[in-house]
Amino acid sequence: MISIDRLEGMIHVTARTSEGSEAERRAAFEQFTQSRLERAYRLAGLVLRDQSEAEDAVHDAAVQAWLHWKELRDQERMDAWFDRILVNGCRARMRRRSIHPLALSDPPEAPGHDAFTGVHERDVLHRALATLDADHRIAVVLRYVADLTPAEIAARTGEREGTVKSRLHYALRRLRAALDAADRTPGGLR
Amino acid sequence: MNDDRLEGDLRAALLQDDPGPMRDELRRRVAAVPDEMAPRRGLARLPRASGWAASLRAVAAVVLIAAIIGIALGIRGSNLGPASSAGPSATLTGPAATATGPAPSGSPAATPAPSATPVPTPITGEWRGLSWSAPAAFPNFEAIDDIVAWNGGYIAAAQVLGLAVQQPGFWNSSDGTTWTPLNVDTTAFPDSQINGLVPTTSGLLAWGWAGEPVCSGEGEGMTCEPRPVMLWTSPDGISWRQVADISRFNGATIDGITAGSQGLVAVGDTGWEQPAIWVSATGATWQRLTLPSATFKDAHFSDVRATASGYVLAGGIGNSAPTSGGVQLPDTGSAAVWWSLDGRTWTKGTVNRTDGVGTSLGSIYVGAKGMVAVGSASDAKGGDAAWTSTDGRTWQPIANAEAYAGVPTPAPGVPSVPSFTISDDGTHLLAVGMGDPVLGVSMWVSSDGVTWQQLPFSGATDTIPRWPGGTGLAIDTAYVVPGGLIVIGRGPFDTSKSVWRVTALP
Repeated sequence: MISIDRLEGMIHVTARTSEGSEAERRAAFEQFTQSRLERAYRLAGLVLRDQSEAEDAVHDAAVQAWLHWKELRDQERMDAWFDRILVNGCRARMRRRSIHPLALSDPPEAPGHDAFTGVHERDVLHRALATLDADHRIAVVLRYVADLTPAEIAARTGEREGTVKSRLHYALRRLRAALDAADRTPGGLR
Repeated sequence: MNDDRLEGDLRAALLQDDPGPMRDELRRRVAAVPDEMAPRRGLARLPRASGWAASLRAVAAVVLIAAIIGIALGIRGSNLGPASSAGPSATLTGPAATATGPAPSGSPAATPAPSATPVPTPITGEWRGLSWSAPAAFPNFEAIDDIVAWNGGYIAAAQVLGLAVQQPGFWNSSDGTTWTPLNVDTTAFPDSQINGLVPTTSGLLAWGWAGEPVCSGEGEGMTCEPRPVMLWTSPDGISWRQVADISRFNGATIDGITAGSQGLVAVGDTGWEQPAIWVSATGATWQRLTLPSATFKDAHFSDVRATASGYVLAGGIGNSAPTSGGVQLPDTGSAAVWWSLDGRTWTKGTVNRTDGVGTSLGSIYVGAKGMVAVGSASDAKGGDAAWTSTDGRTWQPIANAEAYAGVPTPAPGVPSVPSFTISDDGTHLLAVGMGDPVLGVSMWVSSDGVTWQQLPFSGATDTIPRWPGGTGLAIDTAYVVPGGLIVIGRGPFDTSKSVWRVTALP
């Protein structure tokens, strides 16, 4: 359910953008982007795993948002719209970097003490996460960090909801396989 | 580890990559964006896909978001699908589809169809380039299901937007750019979705399913029940009839249907470990084959294609039952193929394995001199696996499927193709790469899947949609048709799709 404050904010933004003066457009743009920068930067950072690239991705998304600011009439869709630009930019950057999956054949040696098992599992997962390609990593970040539903992710990635579910399923299965592989090694998880 | 704990640890693991606090520098950079852009405000915008798209920009956000959901096209879960499941031996003898329907729209209207440019005579010999037409508006579908060359023109099936239930629609075109909705009686398609169109000796066959998927569980454990299979036949693309003996498909999932010289072959299953093959002469009546266990032990099917000499069936042996509504990741099994001269008697072929613990063969693409099969592997790298074959009986692995990507491995220092897909018309194999820094899209052609030739573009190349940064979903679908391609795409801020007729040059 939308809050009154957010609704008022949206109305405010809508009124500003619909009037269309340069100053008002700038004000609306600034209000929109500055309130979302932290979130956008964090998402981009988790996808790209690089601070500078995350900053550049957010900046590029802001540039595109400004270039097409006047075209956007449905203010309620602005968050998804901005995420969409950001996600596309992150995907492009990942692919340009030609990220290659890391080998999973050599999981880190597990500590024997239970107190460290959780930490070790997260390390295994962290390594396994690095093996996901751009599309799968984006889906995982949007689902488990941004807490978006598969339908919401689909609206941001341009995929069908079923495709998003497939990506999440694949990613989870692969991460579980990594844990299982670590478990099978001498001195494994349990 | 249960799913909840896995997801909790997953969040924690993800946060290990947290980039740290945002620097104020970024806040300043973004705040300065309007000023940075001010001198460039008069420059050309991102390429417009069409005037129609531009005129609809006023409703951009609503339609854009709705349409975005339908971007991922392709009947096999990939962005780009082959022109049809029908191989080159499919005989196209159906009577003419009468193009008297209304103007392009999501719902039928009453405007006469505009005249269309005749389809150019397909060149003979090798393709050495592609000439792009100016884009035309494409009906605003939610999702295109299939486009096939048929009866001297083209016919498309798609889901109509804005309806409470699933409702397919049909459009035809004589030139690939001007599309006319066909006045189809939709009562034959109750809450149905078309998955593919197949030209047959007596017209067209459409196949798909009815209703929405019923799924249970979440995340890794999610499973979905198969939706009821639906088959329709039509002599003209306008009058459609449900196949009467659909009971032969009760509880079945169809993974592919193809038309060859010996008739139609459908493959799928009636549950895990219960592979099924159905055959039909025209699509009106079907027979389920009894599969010899020696040939099909632990078989799972994923695709079937007609070839010049018969049929090839792709799948795997072993592996675990899929979850997440049919998603299959091979684990302990291996890729497998079967071949047949008549569609009824099958022989297991040879798939030379790549490394890794599990492989599965997904889709087959057919060229004039060879075939490409793309599948998946659960080895240390995971992801794509690919094979080539000259006869469909013995398949050789591509050493590095991810780098292969249907195109030659780029030289050191040359940016690699960031994504790819393959489509075909039974003669030409087409690999599409997204993310060309200049054009947004790059394409290669092959007749055997081994040797690929990049095709230079000419014509209206400035209309090819590009996404910010030069990459992204530049095009949605490229269908290989006689003499070239039909390409569907949309720029990042266009509200409807555009279509290009891309003509192959000698």
